[in-house]
Amino acid sequence: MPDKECSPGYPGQTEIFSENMKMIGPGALTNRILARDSSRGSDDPFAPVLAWAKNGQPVMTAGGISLHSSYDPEREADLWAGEALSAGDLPKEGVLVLGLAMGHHIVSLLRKSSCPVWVFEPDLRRLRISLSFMPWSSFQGRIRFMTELSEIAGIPPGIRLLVHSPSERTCQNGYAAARKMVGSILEDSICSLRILVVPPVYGGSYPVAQGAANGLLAAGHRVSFFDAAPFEGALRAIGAQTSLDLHKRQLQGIFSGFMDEMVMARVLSVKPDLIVALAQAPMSPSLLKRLREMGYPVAYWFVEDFRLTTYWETVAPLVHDFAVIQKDPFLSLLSDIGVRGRYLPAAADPKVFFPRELSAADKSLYGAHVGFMGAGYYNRQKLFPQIADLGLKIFGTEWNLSDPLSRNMPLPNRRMSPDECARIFSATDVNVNLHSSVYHNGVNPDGDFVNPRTFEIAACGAFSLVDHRSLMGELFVMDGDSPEVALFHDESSLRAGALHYLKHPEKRAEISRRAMERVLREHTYEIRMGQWIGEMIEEGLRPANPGMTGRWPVDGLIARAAGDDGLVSFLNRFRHMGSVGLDEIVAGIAPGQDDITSEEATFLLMKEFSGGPG
Amino acid sequence: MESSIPDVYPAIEGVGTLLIQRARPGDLIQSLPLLERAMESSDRVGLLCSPDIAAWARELSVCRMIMTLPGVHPEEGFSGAYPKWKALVGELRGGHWERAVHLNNDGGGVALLKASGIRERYGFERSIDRRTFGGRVPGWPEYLVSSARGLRQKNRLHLSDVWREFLPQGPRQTADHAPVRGGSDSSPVVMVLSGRSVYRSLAEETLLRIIGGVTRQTGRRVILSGRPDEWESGERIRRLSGDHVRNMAGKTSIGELDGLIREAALVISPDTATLHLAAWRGIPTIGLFFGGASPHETGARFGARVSIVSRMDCYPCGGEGSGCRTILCREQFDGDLVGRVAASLLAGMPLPPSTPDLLILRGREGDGDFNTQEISGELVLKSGDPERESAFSGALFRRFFLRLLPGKRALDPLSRAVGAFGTLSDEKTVSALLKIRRGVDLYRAMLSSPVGRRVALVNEFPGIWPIANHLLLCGDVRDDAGGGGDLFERRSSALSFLSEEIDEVLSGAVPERGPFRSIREEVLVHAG
Repeated sequence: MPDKECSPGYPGQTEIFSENMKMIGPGALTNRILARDSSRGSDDPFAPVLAWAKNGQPVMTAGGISLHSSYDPEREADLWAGEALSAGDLPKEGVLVLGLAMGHHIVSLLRKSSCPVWVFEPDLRRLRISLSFMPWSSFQGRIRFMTELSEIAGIPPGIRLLVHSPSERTCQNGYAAARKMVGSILEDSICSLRILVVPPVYGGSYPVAQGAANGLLAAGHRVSFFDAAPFEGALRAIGAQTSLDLHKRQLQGIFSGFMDEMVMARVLSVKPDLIVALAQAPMSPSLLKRLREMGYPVAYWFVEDFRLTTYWETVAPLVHDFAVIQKDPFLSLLSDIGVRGRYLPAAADPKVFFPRELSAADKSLYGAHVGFMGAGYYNRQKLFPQIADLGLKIFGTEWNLSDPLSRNMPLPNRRMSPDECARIFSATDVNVNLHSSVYHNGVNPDGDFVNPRTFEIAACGAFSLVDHRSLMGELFVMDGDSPEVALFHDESSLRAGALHYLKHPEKRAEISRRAMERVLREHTYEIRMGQWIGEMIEEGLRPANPGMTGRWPVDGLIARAAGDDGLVSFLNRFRHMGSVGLDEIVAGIAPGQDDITSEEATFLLMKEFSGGPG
Repeated sequence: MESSIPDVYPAIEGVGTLLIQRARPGDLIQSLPLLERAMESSDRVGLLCSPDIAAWARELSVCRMIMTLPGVHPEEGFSGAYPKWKALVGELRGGHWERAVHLNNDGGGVALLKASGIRERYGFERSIDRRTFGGRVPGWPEYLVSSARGLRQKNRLHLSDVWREFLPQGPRQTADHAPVRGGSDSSPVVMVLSGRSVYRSLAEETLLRIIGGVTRQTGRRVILSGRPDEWESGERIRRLSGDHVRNMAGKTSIGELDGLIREAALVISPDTATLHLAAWRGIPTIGLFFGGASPHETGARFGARVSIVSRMDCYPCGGEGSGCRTILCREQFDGDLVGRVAASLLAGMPLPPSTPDLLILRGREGDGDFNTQEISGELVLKSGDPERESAFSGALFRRFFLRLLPGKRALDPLSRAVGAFGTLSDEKTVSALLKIRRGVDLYRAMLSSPVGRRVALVNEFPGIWPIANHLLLCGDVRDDAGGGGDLFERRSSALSFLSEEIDEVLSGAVPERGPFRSIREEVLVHAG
């Protein structure tokens, strides 16, 4: 039966509705149409209302806005359909139209073409009104209505998407998800996201951020890196100005606000599809909320110990995806606050950490029988004196220079670059890798996550003795005939291990080789980022402009361009690349050249007007 | 307001001028003087615009040929987008356009120019922020449209006039644009509720005060106009105001709005497209300016036009970019004052004078066919306030920029430009003008010097930055736009006139300092 929104008395209204329902036939859609829709309350500002155009045809308004011309909706519909057809023949697979309204535009399209037409309209009220007045049954076999997102997945590839703008303006949320879903079906583009990486201002996560950025690039994404390092001096200077904690907090708050705006300015400039933030990234909860409201997804990689740094409680619920380097109990705690954490262990960047050929000077400076590269945490300061007599060399910062251990530091408290770290690892016979702890005297018996250094030393083809961690076994073979790591559990096993492997360089070489192969095979940033982004895409993450930011297989484009000799000739230039993105196409158009072909001009305009969110 | 859907591209005949305007409806209407100038020298004029303003262009019949950018949606991908853009390229290249004028300083429009293949280009033909198509900043007048807001406050050149000057004047001169219309005694006053953002929207209480003042002083009905989402606000105002107010917010199409305005006696509005439309139709207007909007650049351009302007210290601000959370300037409009201005305007009587809080400006044609604002009554400037210095320097700099234009034009006498500011007697302003004078003379002597030296000079004489900024960014270009003369010569001459006019202002200000000559000598010593 017609809905309450319909005006009684229109000639044949009931019969029209019946015929249309017969055309739709029994099934889920019919049940939805005939059920009372109580999900939308009277406070819906865009509730559809039947209205009448000046020429007597039925139209529809929503929120006071007419969805069709109030003078001559048929003529307007003909213009709409004409524009759709002027862009080229409609594919034989058909057309998907987002937005039904009363449907005049679709009727016109059906009359002017012969292909199938799918219509997606999430507002059942609009559908009911349309079914009461429009002659859909006369197009039986060519028209199909969809009201659920899941139904879109069933449409064939190759269709063209059309949008009824007035409908979209009055039902925006209803179409956004449909657009994204359609975008992923229409093009067999290779998904290449525009990603902004936000590192911390300084700290251990900074090189991880650099590695992640390199990994994302290697995985084929377009990466921008928000380098906050220039602001390190400012942040550190805050502590030097005053000893009053209140003042320090105030200043840090102001600094935080400033960094928020810096990040936002970059986001608005780059318009990324995804923001990858690392632990301690200068992004306050307020900024994260703004980004979420603006539609910019943030994937946060929390590469810290959840027990020591607890700001994850505030940050995790505000981001699109929260990746961690620990498992339970952390994942359970996240679940308790409604966040589905994702385990993503650390990795190495093989572009930075690779085996080095060292000069005599490097060997002299960096080389040692036993060495350590890292910060002077409590447990290291406690344990290392026990092996200082083994020819120990220590590099890194935050060591107590009044401690006798300082004699083992060739470059006391100097920050070492990643390249220097790689040289240290390569030059050292036995690299000691003791995970940090602020209160254990040596090894943390409950330690779980594996630090980046483990992978970095391995990637350099160097040997390390690592303290046991509960998650190590998932990442490296720990024992058996072909171990990939050498472990210690306490002070005595560290000393024994060091002495043993110093005497057996062939064993060091074997373990190192296997470890390096394992890292290059499974533990690089490229692999991690590829896995992470891939999982998010499977779960529904889509580029803001999937059709424009993706890469297209060139052969596919050429096949689709058949008949357009100019376009085919143009695309042939890119055949050797296999796949091509819009940026690369446009980059090939000489900037100073005035005479460009119409194909070049077309791609130039597509690039300029492809836009993005925000 | 409803908007219609885009037409298919019309058939194109003959040669002509294509205007590319992709901003907002208000910008479209402010482009109409340029459109008229294009018609002076072309047999055919077309408009290429964004879908958002195409409906306005069609319903207002701004020109016969209107093309719309394709409504491409990102999810359409290559299959959907390529045919549409290809069709547009085909229409542009097959349209036999002799010349194109690009009105928006962005890469998209520059790309359209390039894609069109049209040889003769005016306006923003290069975009400074695009490495691919970058180049030097174009000369006057394009730069002035895109320049920093502070500079646009100084040059005080109306957007319509600047855009109009993108094209050389044609052989056929059009008559004054539109006759002034006052409506009948029973015609209503149209009150526009708001503009594109909160920085162009009045608070409801302010609107109530204004409506109260207008109805008391003029006795006329008031019709509220606005967007569909303002309907409820309009209803609240109507209920509180009484029977003489009618709410039509969101109830009119563009064509119906045009009709409503044509029948109005007066339109009162913040800086909105409706204000500009009313001005274009010759309807008397009162523009309410606050936030970041300035009547000098975007006030009503035609007809009997008055602007009531905030005099808060922070005005004008960055508008949407200012971050101001209080926006107090929205609330300071005195309803009684607005009512008296309305009554005076309708009766053809002298306007009330400006007040300490609000400036009343009347627009007129002046300075050789440029929009000029005159202050109503003698302006009482706040002693020692930057407003005094800004008033004098603003008037003087404007004349400098007008002299940079190619072609000859008669500027209004200097006394008319600065007359309303009263006698210049405070030391601070005199000192500031003296320093500007010194800086101008030094800059003129250094016109051929390396850029670094000129930048250093500006650091020492920051008061001259509006003109120096313009000259530095425009570079050393030869003037190929017609109008004759080397641009270098024109710049030197404009600087010289500026210097002399500062002298003239100062000589009238401080006779007790001794002969005028002593000031000139002081400047020459420093310039030496």
